[in-house]
Amino acid sequence: MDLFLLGIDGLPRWMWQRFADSGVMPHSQQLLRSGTLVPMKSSLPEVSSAAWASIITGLNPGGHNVFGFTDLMDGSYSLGFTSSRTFRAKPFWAQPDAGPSLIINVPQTYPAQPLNGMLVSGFVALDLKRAVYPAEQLSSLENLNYAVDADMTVLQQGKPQFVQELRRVMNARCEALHQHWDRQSWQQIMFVFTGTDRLNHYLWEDFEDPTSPLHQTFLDYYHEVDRHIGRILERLDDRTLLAAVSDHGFARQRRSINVNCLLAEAGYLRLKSSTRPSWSDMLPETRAFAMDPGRIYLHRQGRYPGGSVQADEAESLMQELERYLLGLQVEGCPVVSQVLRGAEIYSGPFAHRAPDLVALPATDVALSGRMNLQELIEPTLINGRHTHEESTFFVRGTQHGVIPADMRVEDVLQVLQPQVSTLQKAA
Amino acid sequence: MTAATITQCSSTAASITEVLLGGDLILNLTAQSLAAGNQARFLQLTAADHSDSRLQICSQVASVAWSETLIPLFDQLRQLDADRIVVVADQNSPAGLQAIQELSSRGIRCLLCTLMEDCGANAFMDEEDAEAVAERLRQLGYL
Repeated sequence: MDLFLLGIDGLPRWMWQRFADSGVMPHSQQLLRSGTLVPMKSSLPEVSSAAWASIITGLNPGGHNVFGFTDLMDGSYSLGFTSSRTFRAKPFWAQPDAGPSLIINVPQTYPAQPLNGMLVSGFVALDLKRAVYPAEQLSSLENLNYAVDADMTVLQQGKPQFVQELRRVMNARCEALHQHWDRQSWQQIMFVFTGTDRLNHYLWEDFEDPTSPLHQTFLDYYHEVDRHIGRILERLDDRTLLAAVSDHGFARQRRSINVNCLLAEAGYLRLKSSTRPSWSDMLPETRAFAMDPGRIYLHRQGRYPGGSVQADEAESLMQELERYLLGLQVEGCPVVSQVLRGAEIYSGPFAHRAPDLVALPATDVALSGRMNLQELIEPTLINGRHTHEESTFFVRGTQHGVIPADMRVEDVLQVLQPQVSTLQKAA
Repeated sequence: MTAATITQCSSTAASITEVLLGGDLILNLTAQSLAAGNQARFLQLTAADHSDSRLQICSQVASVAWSETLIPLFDQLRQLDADRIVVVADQNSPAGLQAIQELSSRGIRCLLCTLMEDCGANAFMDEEDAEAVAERLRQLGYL
């Protein structure tokens, strides 16, 4: 095998190093000593769908066309949920020279698309039948009680039960990995742990508070992840290039702020009366609106059926919005730390579909782009949020491409591929 | 018009107005009808035979088939009343880049806009899955 790419969703670089050093993740300690671990910048916005799409295509969202989990269909206000069909760039396993690939639980790959090898889709997979390619492998997964996702309703029973559910799903996924790994010779394998992201979202407060009764539960889950990492390491020979990545970092979330509420309060967003407001309720007077998590779009003429912002008004409106967003405070605390221009951060054939502005949240804040204007501060059980900084990039050994000083998710393939090509030639 | 750096962007036939500014002239090298708005001005050929033709401004949607015989006609464009020429070309077609290089070499301010396919319903989750996906995303705070 040439490449094993391990994904650990939402694992911050600093946390992995800390858990490795403190003995929570002993196999990782051994692993991290064998290569280079660096912080990596997530996609903009720092959302899993866009970030994983960048990792597997080597492009920013302007190149692969996935800007978030949701988007408006072109020329309309219809909300669409991005899927594997939204990709307009090929993942590395679909490149013409790619050999047999085993791809398990990579987010944003549902429904499963044909490839040379086997793929089981990750989040937001709904139905295992449509998440598996080729279809004849479905029964083997069913026999393992493979679940496309954890049952989030278990949270209502309590956090310990929820963590148990995450464990159940992770164990079945790992069994599937090893069973199919054994089945044939693979040129590349990519496997992603996603329970880590769910754990971080709901138990971050317990991680940060050593007196919490669930603090140890949090650490134990990572210990379990590490046990699975150890089992993978045992099977890999030195010839295989091993890399590990996460899609974003994590930090404490104390409040989730609805950006559309803020835009409506300031008069930028106007909706007609509706019991269940959506983007299709936007009035032509709307100047700007948001989508998750901090994507801000001008209501441009031409781009939207009722759009009213003309191209030569855009610059002054963006400047006005930047000033407004950066000056905002809720409960005495800043909401936005940085506002970036879409035209400056995206490149590629789909950059015209990009948001005009991307707002990054201030400390302790998560931004939301819900079109529900009832609650500025949204009630939620979530207490951990994604960060743009400090996602993880690790590569074993020294035979790899140059790691950029400012490593980003779209650089991953560029760092790994020179070595993969060398291995392929040697074989 | 004065020389400037070549810039490129992409859009769709339906949403081209989002890149147009007042004072633009559109050189549409695609066969597509562009929804460019009432104020838009296009370049069109006065005759199908390039050797006996010139480029002129019209207010209706127009397109021009690319041919190297068009290149000498670009010399006239500096005299036209326009801030910028927006060259609209199909994706993967070399015509747009060639046109923009020729315009640029003449010191004419220009923008290359590549037309992409619309990203419509078929690029997203099936409609029957939408509610279930929405629920998953709500659980993680995205919706």
